[in-house]
Amino acid sequence: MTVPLPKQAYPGRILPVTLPAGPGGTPVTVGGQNALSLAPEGEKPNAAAIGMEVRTGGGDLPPALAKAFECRATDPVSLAGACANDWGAQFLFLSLDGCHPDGGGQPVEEGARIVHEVLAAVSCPVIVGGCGEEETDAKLFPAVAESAGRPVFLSYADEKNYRLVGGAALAYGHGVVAWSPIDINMAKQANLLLSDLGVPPERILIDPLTGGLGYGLEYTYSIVERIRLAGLSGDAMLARPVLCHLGDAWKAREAVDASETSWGDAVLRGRRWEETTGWACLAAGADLLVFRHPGNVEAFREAAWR
Amino acid sequence: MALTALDIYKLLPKTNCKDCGFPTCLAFAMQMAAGKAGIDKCPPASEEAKAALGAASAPPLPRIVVGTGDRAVTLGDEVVLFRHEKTFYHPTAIAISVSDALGDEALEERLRSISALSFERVGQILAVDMVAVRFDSGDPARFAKTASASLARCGKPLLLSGTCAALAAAIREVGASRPLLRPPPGETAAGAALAAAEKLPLAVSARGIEGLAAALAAARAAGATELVADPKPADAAVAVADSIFIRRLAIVHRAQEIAYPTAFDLGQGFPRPFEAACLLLSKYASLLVLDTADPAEIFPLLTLRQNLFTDPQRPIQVDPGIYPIGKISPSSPVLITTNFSLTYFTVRSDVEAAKTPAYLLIAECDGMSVLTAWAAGKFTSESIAALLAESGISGKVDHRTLILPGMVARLSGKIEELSQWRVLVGPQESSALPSYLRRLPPAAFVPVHG
Amino acid sequence: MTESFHSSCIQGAKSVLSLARASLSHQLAGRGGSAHLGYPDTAYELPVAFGLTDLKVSTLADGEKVLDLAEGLLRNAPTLENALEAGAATLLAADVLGALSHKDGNPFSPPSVGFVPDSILRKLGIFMVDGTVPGVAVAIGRATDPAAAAAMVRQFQEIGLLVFLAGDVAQQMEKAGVKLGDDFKTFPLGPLPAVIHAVNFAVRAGLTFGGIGRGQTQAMYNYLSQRVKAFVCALGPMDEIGLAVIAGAMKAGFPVLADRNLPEIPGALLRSPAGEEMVRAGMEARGIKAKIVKVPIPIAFGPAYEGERIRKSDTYAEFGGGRGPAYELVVSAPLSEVRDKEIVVVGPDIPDMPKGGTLPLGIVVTVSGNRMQKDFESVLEQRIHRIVNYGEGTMHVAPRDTTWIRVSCEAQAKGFRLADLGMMLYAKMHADFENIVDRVSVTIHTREEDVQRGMAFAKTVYAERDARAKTLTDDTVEEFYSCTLCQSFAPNHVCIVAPERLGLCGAINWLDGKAGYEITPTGPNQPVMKGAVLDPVKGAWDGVNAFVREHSRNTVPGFNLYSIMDAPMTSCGCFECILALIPEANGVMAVNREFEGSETPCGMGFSTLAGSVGGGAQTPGFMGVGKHYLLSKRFLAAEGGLPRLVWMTKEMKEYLGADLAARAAEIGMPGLVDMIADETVAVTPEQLLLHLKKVGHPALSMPPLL
Repeated sequence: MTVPLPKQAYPGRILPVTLPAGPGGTPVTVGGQNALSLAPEGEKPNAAAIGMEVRTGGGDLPPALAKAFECRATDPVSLAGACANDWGAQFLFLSLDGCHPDGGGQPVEEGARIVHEVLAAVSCPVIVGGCGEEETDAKLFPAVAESAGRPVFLSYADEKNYRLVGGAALAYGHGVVAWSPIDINMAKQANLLLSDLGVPPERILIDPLTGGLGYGLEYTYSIVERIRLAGLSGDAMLARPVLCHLGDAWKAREAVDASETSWGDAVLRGRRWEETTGWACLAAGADLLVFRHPGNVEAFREAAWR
Repeated sequence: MALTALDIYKLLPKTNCKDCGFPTCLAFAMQMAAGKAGIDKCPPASEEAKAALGAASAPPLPRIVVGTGDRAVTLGDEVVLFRHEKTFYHPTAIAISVSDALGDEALEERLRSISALSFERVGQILAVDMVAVRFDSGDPARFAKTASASLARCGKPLLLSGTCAALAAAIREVGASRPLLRPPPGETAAGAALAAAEKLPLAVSARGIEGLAAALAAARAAGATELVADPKPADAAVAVADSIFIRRLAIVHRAQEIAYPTAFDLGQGFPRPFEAACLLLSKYASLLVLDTADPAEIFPLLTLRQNLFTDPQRPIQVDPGIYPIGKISPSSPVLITTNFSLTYFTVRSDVEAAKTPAYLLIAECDGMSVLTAWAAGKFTSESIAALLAESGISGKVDHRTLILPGMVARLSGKIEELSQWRVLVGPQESSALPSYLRRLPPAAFVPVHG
Repeated sequence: MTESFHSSCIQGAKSVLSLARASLSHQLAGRGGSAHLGYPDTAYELPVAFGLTDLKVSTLADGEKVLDLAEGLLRNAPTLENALEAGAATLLAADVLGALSHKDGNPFSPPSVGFVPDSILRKLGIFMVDGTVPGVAVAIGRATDPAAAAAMVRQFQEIGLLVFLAGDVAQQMEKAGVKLGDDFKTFPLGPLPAVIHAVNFAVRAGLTFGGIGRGQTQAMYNYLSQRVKAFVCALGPMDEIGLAVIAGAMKAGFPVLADRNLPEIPGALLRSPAGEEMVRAGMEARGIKAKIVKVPIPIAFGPAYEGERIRKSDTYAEFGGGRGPAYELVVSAPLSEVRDKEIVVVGPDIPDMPKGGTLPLGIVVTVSGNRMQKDFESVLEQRIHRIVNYGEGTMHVAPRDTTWIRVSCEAQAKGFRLADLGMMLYAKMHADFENIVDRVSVTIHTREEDVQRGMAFAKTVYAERDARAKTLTDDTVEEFYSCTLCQSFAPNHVCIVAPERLGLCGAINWLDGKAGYEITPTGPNQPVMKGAVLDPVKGAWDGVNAFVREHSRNTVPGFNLYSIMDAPMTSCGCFECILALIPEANGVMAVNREFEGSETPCGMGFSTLAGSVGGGAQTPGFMGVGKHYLLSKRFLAAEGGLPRLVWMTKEMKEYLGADLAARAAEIGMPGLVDMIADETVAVTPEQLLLHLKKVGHPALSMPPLL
């Protein structure tokens, strides 16, 4: 009996985007495919890239991460080195949380200095994330863009600040992560606005906002699928690589709470919570995944989808 | 493709007899169009109508029921490839394995841990659905005994994996519970005959889609009708490919010879079972068998399933009422928002981040977000004033100050008029709550007397 | 005069060229042709040559090629075209001259900076892209009145413009105490020819931020004229070299404002006295808008106060609301007739009133803007309600000549006056309608006779608008507007808003859609060109269908705007009411969102219907609509219109009331409304049919729907 395999062909192709590396490092290229993830069909020149987040500003670590980072210095520069050199992260996502007024309130110059040091310490591609506080980020992005010293991606540009982030990227040759709040039309709009500004398409990544497992993941899952289907159907503004930042997985009580014994070991559970979020995002179509747990980087880098 | 309600209505008797349980033929037609009712519910329907509508309303992926009663598990019966197109109706069933080679004590312990795999999230109980009994002992009687103990201890439907001899033995003990039979690939025909004779669902195993199509044909030839397909993949990559192709063949190509719910056994040394489970939950599997019973692994899987099988148009709701956050006191601030689960979670986590104990009042808004609920007239000055009066919050705090979401600032004045509460307008975005709450002067929450 | 201006420009260009030639030969003699020619600290060689020609310049010999090319541009005939070409030659030659002079670094003494390095360009460029630096002012020459010029430059600084100074004006400003340097984004470049560093700065902005490559001449000119919002202030008398520079600026697309007697060229060369007038002219010539960061009024202002109620006992001053005449009006006017920020209060003010007092009130907001349209007046006017409610201590109720405003005692105690009300309107109109409004002025009258006179005029405007709204039909417009706001939960739903069919949420009509598009061109409201008519009765156009196909991502092939039976519009979930077929009655029913019952003649209440109809599905026989669509001439035009309506909720009937009766009368069925059943008459098809037969409802005798 022969059953012809129902392979699906799409008219569109996702634009390849390269995250540049430092001297001696390996750049990361994602995108370039003309098919959905997972199904063995079409051309998929680049596997999803696996990165790790490094946060400034300290704060309590969930049990799973405390265990994984054990015996390591957790200052951003050392941690960045461990992520890139020991744990196999293909790129880093450096979140300047420490500059948030409620998160330590490091001066902007301090944030920019850390960026500079991290970039000197690792050779892999780096995405630099703001602290999330509008006014601070308005100062942070120009400072980071200037002090970076080599091309990075700035995260993120949204409807409000895209001119500033886009401008900072253009001034110093960086890329931009275009963020939108789980809304396909706003994702498209963010790309349109950045294009109008003159940011070249091969320097834009889509961040659709990633809800953590149990906390809105299903919205992200469907929006990533829809963005990808639209891109493959020929919508050029959405035919861009998608970045899923899994940080919200660690905000779930289920990922960090050690007091509920019926939920099992908090160390394994936390890791699995992030891992589950990651697999779902990969299934939906994510091209870049940002983890915090070293074990998950290993799991995803070894996966058969590469 | 699908018939519209009007197409269906035209074929109905148009008598509004209400035998179907709906007030009019049109209302019934709407339900049929949505796939929520079948023509079998319409006794007076003509034979032509039954023929036309029976085929048209048959789901592209058949519906297989395992087990009985309110714990019965439905496999298949899906209509779309992507959840945003409509919804995924029947959550992937998760079966935890039990070996019949376990000693009595170990078996008891295993069944206890399976029963414990139950978690509550947003008002729903998340639990594993089935117990998969494996025939490892070589002794059909022991297999039957294990099946029987599993059913008795867990009360969940069973998946019976074993030779036909073992299956036959087990059916004598637990056949009435409608277990799913899973004979080895070499015994498909015999297993099918057994399933046909006992009117039980059958999982047909064969490697690859073509092999599976042949095995399914053999099973049908042997009289089995309620079938589940197991493509026996070697690893996660093959499993996901098989699952995607089978679903596409069913939904897009209507390839009836292969259009069956899928089952995957991720135990017994299957490589990287957790990864495979996550991806198969995302990509269409109807049933997964797992060897792990570790809650640290099962809880995230069940949560993923809960997420993906939520109807995109019917958001999860939390129960309306008073939610204390942190070490509350009578002078803790009171905030209000809607019962859309995502809104609730976001506000809750932002209040927790503020480390300011507070009461969160949740208003019944059909699971809509703040602005949507306001626009739909569900989150109004009247409904908020009524909640303030009726929820009992005034017995928990001795102040009368409410923090209102900034998005609906326009309601503030009328709430003050309708209730005895003063309204402070909070930030528009929940993310600004931590700094907002920290900066609130304690004087905002002084007690009122009289 | 024009001819002599042109010929002076050409002469000036020749002078610049020969200066450059002389300087270049001198250096060639001393350093040789292979010696380096270029500016320090830039990646763009000679930026003007880099951006405007395809010459690669790194040596003195290369410089010669640039001058040859410049010379080739010169023609003697005194035409505008030749003058502009001479301007281009001037820019090229001046950049060579500038680079030659930077052989050993900045040739000028402080505070003049000479060439502005890339590092500063990058730093400032971010804020130009961002809009924090809204434009560039270049002042050249020698001010006749240095104090006025200094005030002007200070104003530039306040607005946040990047300022370049070249010529004597640089020293004049230093002397006048104007703060100069990076921190003030004000750069004295050097003597007049050093103005080229403003030009090469702008060219490098195009290369860095505009993605323009070497030698993409036209793209660079477009960038300079459209994206770099620069203008030139030419102060005092200009010699030929000065005029050549002016020609260069014009060639680059920078408007020049001159305080001397130069021939005016619309959009390119304008006359304006130095000072505030020149600031205004320059900003307007470039469409630069100063951002209002904080509204300067004594009370707090923001959305948080929107819901605030002011009780009678807390009211200090009251206007309208039945206690006196009051109205509000937004009108548009040509740019020349509106003085931005002019806020005039005529008559007694709040401080003149006793507590609890009342006054007549006439608010007239006059706006102008290149993209403002008369049709938007009502959209802006509706915004007054929100703006006034944004004040802490100000409350606004009801529109037009029914307006009612209260000012609280607290606001009065803080010193709130009517001019502050004007300021609120001024600031918020600018902020909310940034893309369409360039100038806003507010006039507030409180004298009875003025208000009565103004109100009479306002009433004519309201009447005109209402008449216009009636003539606005689907046939008379070229385009409809889309709304895709609901795609977050109804992924494939595209709402098409037409003059005769408002959005199904009831919240957006055609004008709102049109204004929405002008305000946010990349937002959810996009123009939909109707294209060819496919079916005039059902309401089908090929342009609409193409748009729907594209924006539903190929899931909805198109729809008929006026039909419920044949390919009706999709429904998202926000519809105000649902129309549902009642086959037994050969008609349709309408049930609104507020209706909580589940008993209706179709067997389903609002929520059951909404569950089946919503989500972006196309469901023949059912459709979500805005309540006012029932009054449209296009209401179910395909099925015969209003006579198809056999049942509607009592609440809706009351809500549409007189308008519905009027519409029924209009189609010659004055008794129709009374024939339409409601829930007090029938909640089953059988009861409904009995009723319809009894009253003789026209639907029963219309062609069968099924």
